[in-house]
Amino acid sequence: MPRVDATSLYGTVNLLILKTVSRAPTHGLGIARAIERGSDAMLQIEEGALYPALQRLERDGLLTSRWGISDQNRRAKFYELTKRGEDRLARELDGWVQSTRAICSVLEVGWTVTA
Amino acid sequence: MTSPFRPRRSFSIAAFRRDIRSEIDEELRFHIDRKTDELVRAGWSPEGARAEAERLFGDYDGIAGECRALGRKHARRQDLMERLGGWGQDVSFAARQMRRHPGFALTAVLTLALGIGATSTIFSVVNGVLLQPLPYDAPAELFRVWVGSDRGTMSKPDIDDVEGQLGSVQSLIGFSNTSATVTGMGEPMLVTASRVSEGVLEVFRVAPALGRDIRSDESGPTAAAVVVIGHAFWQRTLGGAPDVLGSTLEIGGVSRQVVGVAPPGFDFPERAELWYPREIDPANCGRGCHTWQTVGQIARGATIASVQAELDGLAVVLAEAHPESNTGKVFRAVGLQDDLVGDVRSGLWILLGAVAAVLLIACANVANLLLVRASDRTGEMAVRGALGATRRRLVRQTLVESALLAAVGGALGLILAVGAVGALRLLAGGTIPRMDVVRIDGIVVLFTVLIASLVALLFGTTPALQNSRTSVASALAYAGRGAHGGAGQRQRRLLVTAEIGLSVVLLVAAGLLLRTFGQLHAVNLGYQTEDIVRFSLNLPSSQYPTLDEIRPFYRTLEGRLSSLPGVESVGSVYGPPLGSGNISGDVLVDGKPEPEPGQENSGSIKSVSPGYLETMRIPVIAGRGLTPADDVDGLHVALVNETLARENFGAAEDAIGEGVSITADFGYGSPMWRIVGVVADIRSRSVTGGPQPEIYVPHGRFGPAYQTISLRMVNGAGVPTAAIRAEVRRLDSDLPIRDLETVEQALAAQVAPTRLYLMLVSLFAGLAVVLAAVGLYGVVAYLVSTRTREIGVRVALGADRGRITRLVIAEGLRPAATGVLLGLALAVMGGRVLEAVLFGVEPRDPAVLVTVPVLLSIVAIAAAWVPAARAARLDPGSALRSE
Repeated sequence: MPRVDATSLYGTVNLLILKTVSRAPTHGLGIARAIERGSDAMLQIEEGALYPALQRLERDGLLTSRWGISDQNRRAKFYELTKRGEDRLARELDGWVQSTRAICSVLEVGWTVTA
Repeated sequence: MTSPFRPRRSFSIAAFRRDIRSEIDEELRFHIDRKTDELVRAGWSPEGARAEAERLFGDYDGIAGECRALGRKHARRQDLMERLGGWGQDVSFAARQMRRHPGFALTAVLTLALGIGATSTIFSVVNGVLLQPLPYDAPAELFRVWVGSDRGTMSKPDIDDVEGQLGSVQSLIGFSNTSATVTGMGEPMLVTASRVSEGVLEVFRVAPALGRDIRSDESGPTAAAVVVIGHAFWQRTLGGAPDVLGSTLEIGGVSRQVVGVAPPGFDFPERAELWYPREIDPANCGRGCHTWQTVGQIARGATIASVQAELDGLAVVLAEAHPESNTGKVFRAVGLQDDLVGDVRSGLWILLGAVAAVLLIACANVANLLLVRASDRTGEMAVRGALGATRRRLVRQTLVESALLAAVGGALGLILAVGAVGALRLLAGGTIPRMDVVRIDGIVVLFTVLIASLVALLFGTTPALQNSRTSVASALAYAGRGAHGGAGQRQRRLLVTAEIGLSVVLLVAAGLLLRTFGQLHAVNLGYQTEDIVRFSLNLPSSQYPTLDEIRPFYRTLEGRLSSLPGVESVGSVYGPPLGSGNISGDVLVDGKPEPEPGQENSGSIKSVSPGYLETMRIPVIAGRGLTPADDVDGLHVALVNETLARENFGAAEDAIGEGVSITADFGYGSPMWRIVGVVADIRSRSVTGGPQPEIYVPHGRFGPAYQTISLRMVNGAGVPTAAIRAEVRRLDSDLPIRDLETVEQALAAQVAPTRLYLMLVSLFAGLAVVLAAVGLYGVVAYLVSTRTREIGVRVALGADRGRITRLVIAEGLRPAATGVLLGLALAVMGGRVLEAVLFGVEPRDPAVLVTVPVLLSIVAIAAAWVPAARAARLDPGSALRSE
């Protein structure tokens, strides 16, 4: 089993963004909402911090963006996963699951993690 | 101006920044606005909702700033990628264009490949022979010293003074080349050797592979019987035996102890494989005895020029101290590489110039083709311009197409060059020194890349600008009809003018070389070169110590050879024309006071057998020839040539009966020779050099062990190699035969450089003329095609067909005539550069300067005639319908 260095875990925010966007092209607010909803409001992130993260992911070629029309008929920027982004997401998820499982077992916390 | 086709991307930096800022603001505002809406829907007051949304969002300005910075960087990168993608698009578009017009692409690529390939080939020779340093540690510090301007050898005392007294000279050693017979290991071997005054390896700063170098105390009145052997010789004949040191080799009848092995590859001078000490006998061979070649090292920080300055000073000092030997004697220092390749330097640069002219012509031709295509593509370019392609982009597209043509042409040219260099090495191996190191190396490849890029710019720029200048309206108005503009046609005529001008220059050069070649063969050498076979023998002094052994050997051999079938007569000589061996000294006339120092006449001694003059067909013009009786006893009688007679006695007849002696000898002293006859002058040293003063003495009275035996064969009898070998072996089975050749072969070697230059320059000139003719044909043909309608109208209106032909030819001949005149002017002005490789012909030779324009005019008329005749045959009906 490959070992995962816990310190190299991909930025949690990035992972959440990639996962959210992988379901459907989404704008920034939509991503924030999805994270909040998905975690039963447990994960509170400073919403503004999403945007620099989105810029970086786009710069790294994991996301692409385009302007579209939102449900309220306003111009909004939609983000979408690239092929490279998909590969990266799969890899990071795998690593995250493995390291979490490892940490849980050390902490003797019973938990089942699957990707 | 508003246009529906606004460029998508703006080149303004400010606008670029504004775009990023407003996009990010819009994105972030959208977030806060929608969040506010949500909160309002959840029951917040509008003001409270906005404040809460902003609080949840965080530090707006900080976040927006960070996004802007990231966005800008990202946008810049994307911009770059797009640009690169644009280039990629251009290249693939260009490649498609080439595939779509294979005839055009093939013609252009082949023309360029020829031009670039030829240029790279000649450059590789220039690079390998002239530019690359010799393969020694400090090649720039190696130099040689000669006496006088014609590579005269030095005397040992002079060498010692140069080495000992000049601060800018680190070392200078003497040597003389010889070929040594190595016996005792099966068949006798003839090995190139050098007899040295001290170790030659040390001069070149190389360490022996085994043992040591020759020491300076080993030469002297009685030279030590030691030898340093070459690495290849050691491997080849001794199997690289590690215990070779201390063993002995039989060299020229002397047992020499091997004391060292040279490092691999070392073969100075002239592929020497053996180095051994040479006897130095100051009593018999002093300051006036010039028998040494030299090589040395200049001191650190010194230059050839500083050595020369010191040599000039030394010459003055020595002339005062030793007037009898050094009056008027000058020394000349020359770098080793210069010395080696100096003779071919100007020739090679001339060749490079010639091939560069061919390349320019090739460029002009391709530019011409591109201009024609540019005219054909006017419509395409105009449409692309109208659809939003910028002028810049269109120029770029055309340049990329040119670059692609040049790249393919260059690559193909390099492949051609590899083959051509191989062929040239075979062709010029014996003619051009260092030819064996010529190859396509990194420098040549780099040169080729540079040339190809330069070429792309040269032939690509004009059509590119031509394309972009097209106005949409005029182009579309003419679209589908091909050419329209006068500008393209004018440029093409200019190009053809230049091509023809350059062709004229090349043809003049070829013509002058052809005349030189003819002159070289027309030179009256003074003897008959046909049907003479010759070879040399060197009798070892161990078995043939005196004339009593040498004379009978040669006379017997001559007698036996002359009875061979096909042999008309046989004669031997020391110092044959165009061959090796030369001994000369000052002429002293019997009964006249010894001449003042510096006023002496020199004379070269030819030691000949009784049959020599007859064999060579050198006529006696006064008195009598030499007889067999002169060879054995009685008075010392001799013949002199016309030049020696004139210099010392005024006229040929006045020399008869006079006595002369020459201050040079083979160990028999300097007898007084009674002149019994005068022979005609011959050109002994070279084809181009004038006759030297010479005295012919009987070999039997004054005979060196080294003789060259000449056989005059019955016409067409061939070379009796086997019979000669058999006869020599019958007399002495250990004697190797040297330099078996015909005089014609020796003659061919003399004119080989000229022949090589002639061949290559003629090849280049031929290429140039063909390319120029194709260029002219293209221009005229294109002219006809664009004026089909006009010609049709003229024919329909009853114009005489002959008149139309003349009209079209005249159109073509105008640029040709201008080109010929320009080329002639250039040839007349620049002809001087050829002087170094010409002989017997002036650079402004009228015959050449008249023939070349006539020849080119004929070619030009022929090139223009083909399309002109086609024009005249035009059927007016179809011509009028053609548009």
